[in-house]
Amino acid sequence: MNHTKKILILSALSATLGLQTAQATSTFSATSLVTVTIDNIINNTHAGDLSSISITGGFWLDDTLGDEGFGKTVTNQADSSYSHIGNWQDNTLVTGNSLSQSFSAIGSATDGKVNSNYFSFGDIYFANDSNDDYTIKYSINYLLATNVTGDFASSSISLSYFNDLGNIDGYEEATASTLLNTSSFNSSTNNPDPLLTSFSLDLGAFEEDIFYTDVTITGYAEAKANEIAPVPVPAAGWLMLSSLIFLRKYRISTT
Amino acid sequence: MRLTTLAIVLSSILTPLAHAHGPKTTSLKNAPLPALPAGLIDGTSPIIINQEKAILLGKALFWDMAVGSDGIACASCHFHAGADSRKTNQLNPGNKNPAPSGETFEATASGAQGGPNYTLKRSDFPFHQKENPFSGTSPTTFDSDDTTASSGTFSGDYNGAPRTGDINDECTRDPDTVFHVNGTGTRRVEPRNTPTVINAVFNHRNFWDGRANNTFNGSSIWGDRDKDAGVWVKVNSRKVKKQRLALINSSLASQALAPPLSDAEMGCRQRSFQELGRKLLLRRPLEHQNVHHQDSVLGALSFSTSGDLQPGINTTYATLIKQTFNKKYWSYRRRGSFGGRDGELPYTQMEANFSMFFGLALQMYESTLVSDDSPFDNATFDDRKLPTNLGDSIRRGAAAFEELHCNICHSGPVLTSNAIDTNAQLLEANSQAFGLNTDQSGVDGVAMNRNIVNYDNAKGSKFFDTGFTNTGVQHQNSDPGLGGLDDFNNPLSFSSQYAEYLAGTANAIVDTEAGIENTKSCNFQKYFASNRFIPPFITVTGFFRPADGIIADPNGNSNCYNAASEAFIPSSASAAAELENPNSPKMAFATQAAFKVPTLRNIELTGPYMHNGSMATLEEVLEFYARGGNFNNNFTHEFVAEMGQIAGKDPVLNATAIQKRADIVAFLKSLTDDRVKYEKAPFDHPELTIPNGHTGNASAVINGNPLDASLAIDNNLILDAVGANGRSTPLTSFAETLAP
Repeated sequence: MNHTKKILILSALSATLGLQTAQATSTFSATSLVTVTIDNIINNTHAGDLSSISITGGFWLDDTLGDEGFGKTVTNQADSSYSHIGNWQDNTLVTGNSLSQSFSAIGSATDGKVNSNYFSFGDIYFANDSNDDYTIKYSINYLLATNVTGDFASSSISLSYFNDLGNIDGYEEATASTLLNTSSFNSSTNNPDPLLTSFSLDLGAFEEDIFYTDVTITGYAEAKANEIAPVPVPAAGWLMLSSLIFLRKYRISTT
Repeated sequence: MRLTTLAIVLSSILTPLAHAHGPKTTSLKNAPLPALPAGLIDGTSPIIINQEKAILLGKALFWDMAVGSDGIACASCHFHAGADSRKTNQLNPGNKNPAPSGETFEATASGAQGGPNYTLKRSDFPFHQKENPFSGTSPTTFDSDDTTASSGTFSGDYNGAPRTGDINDECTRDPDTVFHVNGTGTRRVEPRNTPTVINAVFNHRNFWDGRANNTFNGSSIWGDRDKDAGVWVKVNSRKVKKQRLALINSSLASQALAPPLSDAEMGCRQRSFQELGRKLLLRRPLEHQNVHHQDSVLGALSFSTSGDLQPGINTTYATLIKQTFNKKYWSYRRRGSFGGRDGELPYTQMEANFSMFFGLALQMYESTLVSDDSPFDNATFDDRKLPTNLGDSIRRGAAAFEELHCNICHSGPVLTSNAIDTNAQLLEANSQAFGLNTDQSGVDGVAMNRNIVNYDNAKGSKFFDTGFTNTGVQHQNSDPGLGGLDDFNNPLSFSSQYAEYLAGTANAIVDTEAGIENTKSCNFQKYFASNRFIPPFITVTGFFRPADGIIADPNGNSNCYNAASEAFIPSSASAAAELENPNSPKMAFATQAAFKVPTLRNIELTGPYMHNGSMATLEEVLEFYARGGNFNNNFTHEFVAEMGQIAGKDPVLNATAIQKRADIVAFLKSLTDDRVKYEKAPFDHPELTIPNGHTGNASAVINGNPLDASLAIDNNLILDAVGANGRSTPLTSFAETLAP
């Protein structure tokens, strides 16, 4: 088991155990898995010559962007944290390669409130350094899930994907609220239209494009000490299950 | 010149407008709403993507007590036929009056002390009384600048708001210096009477002084006047930009943004819409108020069943916003661009744009509140457009309404000349929409050609804004009304802007979307500038002549009420010089103490009347008009003059006058829609608890309000949730609730 897998499992177990022992607790959890795959690269000018096309990129997370709202505010007994695992910047991609990230956050309040906002970025940079014309086919797969438990919690995890050329503009999210007694799961496999997740990029001479995949997690939890959170264990089990699902998916996509 | 020609010329000069009858009152059925602004629900990227959800969101926000800082909903002051029928703690000292009396409460006409927590009686009305109520020259026996309005918030200094549970904001609250009883704070009362929200969608501008701009900018009431206004639009997930928004015919949206931040109506001081958004977004709408399972809009999401009413609806405000609005206004998830409060995460895009969501949702809901099913709306009409099947009294009343020229201001199907767009649409579709003589009506000259500025109506020749009139209810200095200024010291009136525009003043037009510059002088009701032949022995002072310096009106002379010879305007120099003349006979204004002409629909249910709530009954209103108003001043409309037909000063005519007044009241009551009277859809509503004065009376109250011990304990009026089928008992008039 590599380091990444260990972290994911520990994260899931930690969240599960925390929920099991909580009493007057409101919690939120959210997790995502985003994978971008280069499906095919075609040189339309000189068949088979891929020497002048470069595809690089990765996922990154800059928690220093305080003025952009990355972080949390907490009062009393409440807190939140995040984890970000995956391919970081400056990876070089060829046909068949994928880049993936898992980005998760959890928060809880036992006597207080926590308001948090975390985001990660994904950039894939396509550059044609020749007079040839290229067609690049690529796709995005995503899983977004979030859950809340307790007296009052609300969470949202969203994925925005778009490109510099302006012909891609996608937005997906999953949301949960204890008021609505909902959890939410959203994935690209739910989307019946592959046109929304598979793309074809034509790059002419010395043209370039950037494909962005950004994930944001917002979570709010509030509880008072004398209030008992309802039914925490099934929720903990849900988080455990969803984490394991993501872990399996992550393993497949990076094989 | 032949004598007949001369007579015609003189006649046309001296009486350029013979107000024969004016526009007929017509049914509101099938009358068009003001045209929706482009891009609101249409186009490639509309702001609103689901109108049904928008109406649902608007209704929830309108009735939700959590919108206020201390339990006041929009509906708390618009719960009774769209208006406010409460009678306790409803007095304001008249604080629009800059005189000292504007800060102090007067004794009432009944001799009671009045003031905070006073319960109004029938004998307290009207607030201006004469020995002979039908005679303008009769000695005044009572006058007060106090107003009957609506009690709202205790207010205080805003500190924050919970995101769940308690609906009250966290404010530092102390007794108000004006609104208190023996030092114990009472709820504050706004300075003008609450008009009905029903049919308000037809108003070109809302609020009594018209400050709710016709153009909605997304973040304040001021339309294009507010240079910092705008909404945040997502470019992509890493870029957001602030854009100007200019949605015409959206005065309701503009209006909606004022009360939640007003420290007299709903909010603590320094509150903001971003904070209100943060307070509400994660909440379930109406979470502490029962929602009827048959509510025409909310019922499908209610938790209620027959015989078991439950609070709230099964969604959150954030969810509704996502379902209603284009995601470019809420899906940007980074922060930092929108500001925030110390110690808190910066606002989200959804919080930053909450003012736009709030305003437009309320506008969409309020646009459904159209009462077009009154007996008058369903009547048959003869060729004079008088009702033929409502009985003789109503028919006579409708005729008298016209004879007395009430219809000049209360015109068209909404019975207000403020319904500019609707009146214009009707006339454009059918030039005879308001009768055979509409070419001599105020509606035609104004609305048909979309003039929002007009000339004449007051004594002499003066500019006025279409839909706003000074009727002399109060002294002209008691409340400036349309003659006031906005937050940026610009005049509220279009007339002032137009005059300055003619004079060449830079940036004179601050309502840049209103079309003020499109005003056609040939549609003015009196000559403003003319090159027609006038015999040299006649001296003209009332309008501009070629010798003064006039130029052809760049807006042309097509489809005009007046002839091409009147399609002129003064040169900039001439207009500027005339503006410098404080006694100008050519460029004077009738905007001081002018107020929005209200609709008369459902008028029997929406008392007390006038902008200051100073009259309790329709009979008192008719007495007021019969005597030619309370304060006959230089700005009052020319038709507000003693009306002998209904005054009955002559004993011989008295019986006739009494009958005529009764006929007019009967006609006015034929404008009541039973769906309003019985709160049937679309006028049904959730449960609402409304502060209704305080325990005690005007001399003593009990402190210990849960909000702060220094504040008086509220009495509450509980309005039960009503479904689409309405209630079994009808709403009553304001006067019927008053003790003698």
